[in-house]
Amino acid sequence: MSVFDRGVFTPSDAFYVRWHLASIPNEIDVDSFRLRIHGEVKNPTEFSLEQLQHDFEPVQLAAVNQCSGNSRGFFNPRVPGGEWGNGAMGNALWTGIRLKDLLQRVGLKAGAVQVRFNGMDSGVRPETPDFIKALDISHAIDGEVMVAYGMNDAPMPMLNGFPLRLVVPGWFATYWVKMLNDIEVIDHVDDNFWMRSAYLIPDTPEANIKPGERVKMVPINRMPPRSFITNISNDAQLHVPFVVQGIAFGGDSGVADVMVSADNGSQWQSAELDRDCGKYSFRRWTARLNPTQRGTTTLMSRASNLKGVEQPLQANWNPGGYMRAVAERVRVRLA
Amino acid sequence: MKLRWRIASLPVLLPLLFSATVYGIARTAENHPDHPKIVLKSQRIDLPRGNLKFPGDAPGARAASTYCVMCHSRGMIDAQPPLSRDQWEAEIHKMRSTYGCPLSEGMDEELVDFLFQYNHKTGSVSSSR
Repeated sequence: MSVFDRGVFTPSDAFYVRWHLASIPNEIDVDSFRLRIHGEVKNPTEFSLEQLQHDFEPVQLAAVNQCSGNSRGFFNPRVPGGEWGNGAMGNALWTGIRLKDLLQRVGLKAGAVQVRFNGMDSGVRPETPDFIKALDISHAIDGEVMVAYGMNDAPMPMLNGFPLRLVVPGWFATYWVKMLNDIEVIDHVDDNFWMRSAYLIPDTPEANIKPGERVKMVPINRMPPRSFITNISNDAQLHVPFVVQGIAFGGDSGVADVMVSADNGSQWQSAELDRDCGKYSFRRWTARLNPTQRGTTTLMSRASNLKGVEQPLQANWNPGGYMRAVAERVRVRLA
Repeated sequence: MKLRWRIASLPVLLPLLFSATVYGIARTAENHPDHPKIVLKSQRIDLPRGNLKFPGDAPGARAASTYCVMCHSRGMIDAQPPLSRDQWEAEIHKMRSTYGCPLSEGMDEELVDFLFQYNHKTGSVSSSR
């Protein structure tokens, strides 16, 4: 958590990195690179980076990128997969162009239903399903989804998807396709492996089920709110009064408030929210706590977003290890 | 090589930590006086290969060092929580039927044996918290 204590933006060289497929180009030539847009469009086009940068209005947006399986290692019972702690997330300032403007330029045909995004990574074996994600057309043209070439006011680093990465504000990172070079508008709902079979969550509140329970599964989508204490770690010794600070994000809407507790959730007080960098950004918060009790206790933080969604107090469970959003706890000793 | 790349990028990135701009939603970048123009230049990176060899000479260990690491490093397996034999069998099945692992089915039992025993030595018993 200490990296998140340094500021509201996560430095690119401290940002988590996760790719799906093992064959990743290790060299990109900016002059020959092309972004191809095809399918249900009037004018299929291949854009150079130069065209993308100069023929479209550049925009910037602060947004949290969080792996669908962030915090999977805390699932109980444990589930197989990438055993993340809480570090598979970050907040960056993304620079790029609106997907809406790109699609407007090529012209959508009347039959357009979804837009598929494919990057340059591929499997080692020909049988491995190519990593492709899809968004509904209404989402793709909402003016917020971006094709980004900049991260934290610098070129997108290779590890994070140079030269282009899809930015889908408020949605889990599985949709933020890296090394994006192919956009296809399709006239049906995408049924490729990565939409139909992978990254599915239970269609239940908080994607929460009991082990063994069978329910309807749907593609993972919007992020719920989360918050983290960043200046105090487990087993810290603290002298009362003390200051607790951290980060929060609202997921698919802004942070409404952050509550903190020094007694494992019996009593709560409001934290003070720091500057607002946009509704999809981390927001830093601070609280001064002066509890009367001494000895071992548990600190908690709990965010709610502007849509009225509040972090649950009980952790969710599902077989994919997705969507953990429980109010997190830090054990400390007060003196 | 990866480390070198990261260190090389530090001077570019560090000033960002101290930037004090107020960021709006999807602000137009060109209208912002502080917005540095992002100049894209060709990039190259050398990725670490990771640990690809499992210990021992058992047929299952050799199979793991041949097939599992075609697509991911040994570290991915090292990081798994304790899994049952059935769960390892399901993983192997998924790797073959979904991702195209060329391991012949006759090897499954030996690989399950190896992964199950190996995992119970290395598997992280509790979460890393």
